[in-house]
Amino acid sequence: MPCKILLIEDDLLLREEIKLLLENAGYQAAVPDVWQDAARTAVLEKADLVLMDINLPDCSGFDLCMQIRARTDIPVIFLTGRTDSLDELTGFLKGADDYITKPFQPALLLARIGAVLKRSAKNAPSRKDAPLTHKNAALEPGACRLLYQGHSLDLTKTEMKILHLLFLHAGNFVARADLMEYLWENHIFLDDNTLSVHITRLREKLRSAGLDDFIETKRGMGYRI
Amino acid sequence: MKLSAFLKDRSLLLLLHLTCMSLLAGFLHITGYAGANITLICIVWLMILSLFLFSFYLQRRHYFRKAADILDHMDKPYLLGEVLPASCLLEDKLYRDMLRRSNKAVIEKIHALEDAQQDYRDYLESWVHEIKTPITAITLLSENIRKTAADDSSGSSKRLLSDSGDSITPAISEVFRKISLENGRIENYVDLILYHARSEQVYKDYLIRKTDLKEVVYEVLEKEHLLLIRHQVQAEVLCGDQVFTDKKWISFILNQLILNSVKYRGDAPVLRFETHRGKNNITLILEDNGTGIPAEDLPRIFEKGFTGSNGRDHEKATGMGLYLCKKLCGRLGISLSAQSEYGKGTKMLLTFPLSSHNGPPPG
Repeated sequence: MPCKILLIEDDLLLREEIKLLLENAGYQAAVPDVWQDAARTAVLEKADLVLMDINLPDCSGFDLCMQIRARTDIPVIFLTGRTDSLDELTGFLKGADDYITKPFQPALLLARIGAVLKRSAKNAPSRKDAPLTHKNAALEPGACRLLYQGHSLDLTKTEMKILHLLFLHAGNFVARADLMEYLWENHIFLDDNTLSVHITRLREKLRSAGLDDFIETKRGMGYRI
Repeated sequence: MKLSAFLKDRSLLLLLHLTCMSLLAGFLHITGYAGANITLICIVWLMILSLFLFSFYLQRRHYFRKAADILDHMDKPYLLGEVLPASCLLEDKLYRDMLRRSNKAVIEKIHALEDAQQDYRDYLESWVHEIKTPITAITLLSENIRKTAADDSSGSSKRLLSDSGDSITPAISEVFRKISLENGRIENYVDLILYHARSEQVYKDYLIRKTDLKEVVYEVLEKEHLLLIRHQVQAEVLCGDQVFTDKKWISFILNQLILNSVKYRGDAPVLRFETHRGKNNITLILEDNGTGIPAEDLPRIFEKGFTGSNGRDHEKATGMGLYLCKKLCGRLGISLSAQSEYGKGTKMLLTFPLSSHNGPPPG
């Protein structure tokens, strides 16, 4: 059962895009058109988290947050263009769990949502740590290793992340640029040449376990397993 | 107020007295008074006159010294009219009144300007907040298209797909990456104006909290990852310390420093972030292997509008970035300094003072 997130945002385009982002990350998103009743909606919809703007037409996110707090302890995250420290402080005083300023990096938003959900003991979609299998090889992201026919390969963090992305898109090509971005989002800050070095080492490691040509390369397309 | 100047000012009065004195002396002489008597009368007259003038001089000197003293110690000297010492002289009263009226006009003008400036700042702030929504929407829009296409090519996101219908082409993906990059530049320019407006303000807007420097560095690197990847930059982060500061401001400052490093990069650029714990401070060092700063420019890089030879040789520099960083650092009580060797690289040092609240002393 995916976590349900109630999204309160007045900008139509942004609302759609955040909804898409959340759904792609495995959440269920509810986007009401009216907000005055947000507190009731949150309870009725059994939302696990509320994501809301502060500057809303006709009402203020701060007030809504207070109303929500008065009824339930659903975590609330403010998502706003207001970067004033006083607003941030007000946000926390009104009972918010986090305060994210626009513009934000999509990955950051998801990370913060995940953190808040974890704190409230709800489970965020845990596709990150579930073992992944492809062609009889099983990747265990939590343990940082790859299992294949009785072999157990210990992977470095970088190798782990490279394989992880490839496993997530097993059967499809992953562009080099996408791979780089994925690594940077996971705090591995390397350049193109270094990535090649890591891929080469990873291939050797895989070969030692009998996985020849596990990673396929196609010029202009990227890598595939 | 010198006595000579005072007397010079009263020269007409002195002349009048001397004339009268000589007229009287002449008259008395004609009417047959003895010379000694006439001299005595004149001496007494002169004594009375000098006594009067001298006491008047002392009184005036006292008055103006007091006024000057008050003026020296006022923090708003334009309010002098209100606090001048009392005086029973008509001229003083008239001048004081005029001064008051003139000051009032100045004060009104200042208030009007302050109000206008505040309005302008408020508008700027709200404008910045407004524009952040479309910027965010553009970021998300292009990221969503790229990511969903990459994530599940068979899945839900079929809104912008190639004719074959299974995935967007790398070319389209590249277009959206460029859109994201340009959007990032817009965001940075918007931040510059926002922080510039804030740096002028005398009050508030920072929230000092325990801040993990590693986290801040990660966030900024993540924010700029498209740009950094594009320019083949590698980054190493060796930050293990926490400081008490405002996270947003530090992010902004670091962001500017990173953008500078990227702008003036060399071959195979590497950014190193390191923290050092000193006896009563923590230093965050950002080191790059870029073009460096010529020695003659180094002392001036934090000046407003200074672009130096680097700025002129490379992309257009505004000379605002580092100036703003320095100013914001000053407001936060952080010292910002630079070390550089031309042709080898630059080190930017952010030194956070440590208080006893920051945990146990090292060692």
